[in-house]
Amino acid sequence: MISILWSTILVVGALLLHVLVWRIRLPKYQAKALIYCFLSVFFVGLFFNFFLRDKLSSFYLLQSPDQYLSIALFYFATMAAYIITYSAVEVDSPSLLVLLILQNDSDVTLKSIEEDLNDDVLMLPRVADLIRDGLLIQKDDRYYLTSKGRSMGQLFVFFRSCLRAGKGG
Amino acid sequence: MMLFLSVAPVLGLGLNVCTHVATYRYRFTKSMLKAVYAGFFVGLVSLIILNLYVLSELNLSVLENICQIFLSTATYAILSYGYFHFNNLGETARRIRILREFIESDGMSFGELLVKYNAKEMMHLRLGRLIRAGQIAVSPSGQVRLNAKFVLGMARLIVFLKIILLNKKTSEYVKKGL
Repeated sequence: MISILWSTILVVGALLLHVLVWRIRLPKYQAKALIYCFLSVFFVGLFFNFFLRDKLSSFYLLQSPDQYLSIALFYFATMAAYIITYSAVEVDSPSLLVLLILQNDSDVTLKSIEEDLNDDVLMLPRVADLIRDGLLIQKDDRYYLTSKGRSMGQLFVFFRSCLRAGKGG
Repeated sequence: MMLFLSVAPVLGLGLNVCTHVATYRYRFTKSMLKAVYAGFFVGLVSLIILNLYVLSELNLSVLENICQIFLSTATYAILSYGYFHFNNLGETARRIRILREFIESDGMSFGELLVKYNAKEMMHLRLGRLIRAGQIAVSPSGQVRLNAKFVLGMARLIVFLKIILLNKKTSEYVKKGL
């Protein structure tokens, strides 16, 4: 019972801190800032449990290692799931754009979608993001993978080869 | 025993991943989504059986047993959700596809990248997926209409989060309505 209570408190706390920080000033590196928000709330929660155990009734606090482990797993799984979902908020997905366009306008054709969602809209910003995040570097008019970019790309190449799936996109 | 149960969701996720990969790799189904569902189901059932078995050996109250199973399955569901999105990144993310194209080359200009992967190919893949999944339909004259309200609901949820967090709806292209 206490594990569920603390899991909820920590996740809600992290999300509130996230909204608060974002409302004050949008961070430049949003995924990194999200990790800091979640980590800081987690450590405040741990601090609260460790150092206030003499002052509060043990009924409200975590007591055994398995409770800490359960909460940590739940919390970091939630953090990872939220960060991965947040990428859809941070950047417009083409599929999302198509659905919202169709919701707003009943007179849309395949051709008009393909013409309007072109390379300048869909490709150029993504390449810029990869450079900003240190996954690609630009030298003159050519782009090269960084070691970080190569590792990330190879992780997905490996995973897709396990599935025997195509390149995707 | 309780420490073991605490990490049981990770074991469930491991089974989920193995089932998903095997189901799709050996083409028990051609649908990636069905393979994902199969993985989730096998992991979930195994996790619940494991919880029930271990808890039957311990002397806990009914409420404690229910809370343990709830937290365990909730953690498993969230881990599986994260895995589902990881799989989706490989399937649909532009950034990952661009990285893959760079792995196969020794540096490229933007023009060379567009020869290998471009917005037209991307939209072709995505529209094909939306049509096959029945989320949009195309008339013989080429007019497109929305079919599935559920996916639109998810799109609206993303827009809602954008408004709350970023104070904007979405890109200018949607506002213009094309």
